[in-house]
Amino acid sequence: MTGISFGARYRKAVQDIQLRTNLLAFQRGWRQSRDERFADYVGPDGQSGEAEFNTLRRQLAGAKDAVIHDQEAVFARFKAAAESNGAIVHQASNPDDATRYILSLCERAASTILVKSKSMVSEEIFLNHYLEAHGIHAVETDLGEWIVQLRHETPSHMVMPAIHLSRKQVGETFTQATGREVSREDVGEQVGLARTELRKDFLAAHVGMTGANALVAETGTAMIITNEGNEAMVTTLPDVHVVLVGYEKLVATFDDAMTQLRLLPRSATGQHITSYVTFISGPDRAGRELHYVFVDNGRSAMRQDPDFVDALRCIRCAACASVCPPYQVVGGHVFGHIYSGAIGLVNTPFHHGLDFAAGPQSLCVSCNACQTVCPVDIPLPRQILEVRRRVVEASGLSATKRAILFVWARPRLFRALARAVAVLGRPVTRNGFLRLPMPARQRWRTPPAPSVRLARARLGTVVEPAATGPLANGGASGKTVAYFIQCLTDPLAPEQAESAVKLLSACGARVVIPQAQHCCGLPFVDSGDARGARQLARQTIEMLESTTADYIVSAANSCVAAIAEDYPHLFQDEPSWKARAERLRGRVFDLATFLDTVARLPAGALTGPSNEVVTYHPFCQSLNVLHADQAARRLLTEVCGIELRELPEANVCCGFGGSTSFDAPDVARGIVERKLSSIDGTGARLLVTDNPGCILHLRGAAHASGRRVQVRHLAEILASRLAARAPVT
Amino acid sequence: MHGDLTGARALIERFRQRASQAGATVESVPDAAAAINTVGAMARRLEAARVTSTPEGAEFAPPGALVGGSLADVADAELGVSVGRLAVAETGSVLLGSNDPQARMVGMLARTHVVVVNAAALVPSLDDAAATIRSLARSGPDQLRYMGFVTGPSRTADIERVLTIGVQGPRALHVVLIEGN
Repeated sequence: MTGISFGARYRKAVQDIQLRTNLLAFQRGWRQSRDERFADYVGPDGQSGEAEFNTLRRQLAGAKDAVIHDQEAVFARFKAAAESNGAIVHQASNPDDATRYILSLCERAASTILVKSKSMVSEEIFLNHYLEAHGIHAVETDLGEWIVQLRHETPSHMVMPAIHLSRKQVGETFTQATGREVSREDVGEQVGLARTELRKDFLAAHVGMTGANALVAETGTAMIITNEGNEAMVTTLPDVHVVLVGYEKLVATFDDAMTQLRLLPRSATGQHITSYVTFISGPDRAGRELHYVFVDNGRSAMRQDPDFVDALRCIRCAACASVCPPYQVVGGHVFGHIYSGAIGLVNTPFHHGLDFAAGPQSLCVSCNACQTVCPVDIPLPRQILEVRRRVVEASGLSATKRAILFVWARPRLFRALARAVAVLGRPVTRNGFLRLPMPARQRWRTPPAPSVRLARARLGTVVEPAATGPLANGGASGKTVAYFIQCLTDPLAPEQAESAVKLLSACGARVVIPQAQHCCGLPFVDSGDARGARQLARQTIEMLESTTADYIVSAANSCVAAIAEDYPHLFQDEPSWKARAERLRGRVFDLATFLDTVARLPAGALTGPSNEVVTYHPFCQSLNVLHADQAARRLLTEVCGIELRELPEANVCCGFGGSTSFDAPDVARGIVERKLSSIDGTGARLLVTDNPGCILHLRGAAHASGRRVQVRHLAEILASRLAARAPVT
Repeated sequence: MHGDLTGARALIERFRQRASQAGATVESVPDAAAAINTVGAMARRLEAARVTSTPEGAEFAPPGALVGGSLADVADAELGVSVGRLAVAETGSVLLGSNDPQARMVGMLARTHVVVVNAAALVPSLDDAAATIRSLARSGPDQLRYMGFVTGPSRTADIERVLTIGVQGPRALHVVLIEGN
């Protein structure tokens, strides 16, 4: 797999309907089991579900951070304890040294077979290739690993290595490998075959190799978890057992190991615990050998890199792949290198080089789902953007992207072009769409038509509080709110900005619309162009500071997230700008949160006739970063009295992903099809969501596929009910 | 559970629930004699031609059971008998351990594995188990170098996430809980 170029792997994967189907079923099943297993764990404080998950992951992240900080000392404790138990501890100077060491163990034991339990580090250092080249047959005994080994593939998922395959494909692989006819349908028969075939190798091998899930320093103990029982045989039957690990597996105590044990099986396979959890503290009898081989391979560099050190907390559960929307479309052979999923995008530059991360990282849609399920709370979304920034720094942007960003950075040019498209496109504009012939790869979405009159022109510079009196006696009344339109909304969705401003005015606020505003810089952040991002961020900060408004509000939630979350990070090396960004942060609100928590719209304030079936999809960053989804729901259900039909997989991205939907349109298409089919399932005629980019993307895809579902911004729904309302007395 | 009968009952129930969720069966018996009967009945039901046992399990295994056999003797025996050192209600797990590889093979290679464990050794959580594991793993004459939780039978979901029982290890796990009084 690794010998084929990224582009070739990508093109093959996006054509593979079977792959996508297998992975969709997997991700849906995984999510349900994972959520159930956390729901039915009750912690010591009586907490359960996501709240307890957050407590547990804070605990484990803290424990791992302490070890990462103090690694030399913790390693020394582990080594001393393991050696006093009779184990041999080898610190490999590089991957070659590790593979040579393991080869020499096989040679000394006169073993031509090495039986292996699952180890990602062995994949990382290409151990099997090396051993095979030296006449040692390395046999994977984990079923999934064995399947991919027989197919000469790498694992496509860290926990479920063969999850990209169907039973039919597995049956074909087994038939080919054994020369016997093996069922294409009966999974039980396939598993039985593995048992029979692998048993022979267990009995013939003199050396067994495993990884470890945790290395407990206090007693020099390796904790290894499996479900199949292969690890017990690997560690017991041969005379020599070698444990191949990275330093990040060290934990200080058994208490930490237990916290890991509560999080790992739940996050990896949706189990309370795996069938087997083994604790090995030394060779069990005279004549047996236990070796530890520690591999660095870029881990020290990671540890010294403040942007990436947190990734060393990883416990290899692969939840970041199991939850990832682009991963579902292309699989782990494309979304990753050796390590797949979000963590693969992040650690590949350190283990295998930036080049191997360049293609895979370009597929991330920045939906932030990975961090929400990460059991050690690694800031994966931020780290992926940093990988992207480094890729761009090393190789530059594509010519197309450079051209787009050139225009984007220049407000006048940007608006002139939007206007030109609006005017020239008028003859082919129907219902807000441009009916243009599109290239084949883009035909799944109909592009939106820009409006000749921009939102800023429609709104003017000031909108006074509504003459009818405030809708709510909340904190917005009598205040000044600066409204941030968003560069995309300005020409492409002015009605959203108008609706939002109308609502703010109805809440008694005086709304100012700074005419100098343009783009917050998010497209530049998304593209890995940090310089361009900082330039626009500075302009935006200055522009917003100059308004002296009490609050800054926008219905463009992606920009709110960028201003609140990305700015402080963008300016981490410029303290004065960072401070300004942080001061701004306290005043910036997304519309829903503002209406709910500041303006405090009361229940029933916007009731009106509603006979449509309505469903709500929270924009990923509304859900995962701003946590504005509950406010939006309350506005729809309590304030408007709308009965919402629950959207299955509401927490899965729509596939817009900013620039990703242009860089990797096939991925965006795969994800939006998943979303649209979920919407179909609700029977809803109206989809409410809360980010302009996603709305344009969803509308375009719904239109091109002939669907009749309306996609509206929350602001439009709320504003449409203003006319009928009675003022608060 | 501090002599708290309701607490002890709840703990057993929790253990039973979690172990069953993992695909194990749990049978409560009043004493060791009843445990012997239960294991014997199991062997008859399985029409076991070969029963293997760990040295500690021999007490509960039917007459004629093989204790400490070679790999070939143990492999695919119809029934293997072990004794659990601990049971964990939180996860429905039993803790097995031995420095003797032959004893470990019993639970590894038999087709059906029965673990007898005393209800007095049932602890609420993994944290309680950690304390025991720590002391057993410590260097010293009684050090237990190989131990582990077993929870349900050997399983895989590697193919299409279809749950399949009995990959390399036993296809069934039974826990016999001696409740005593």
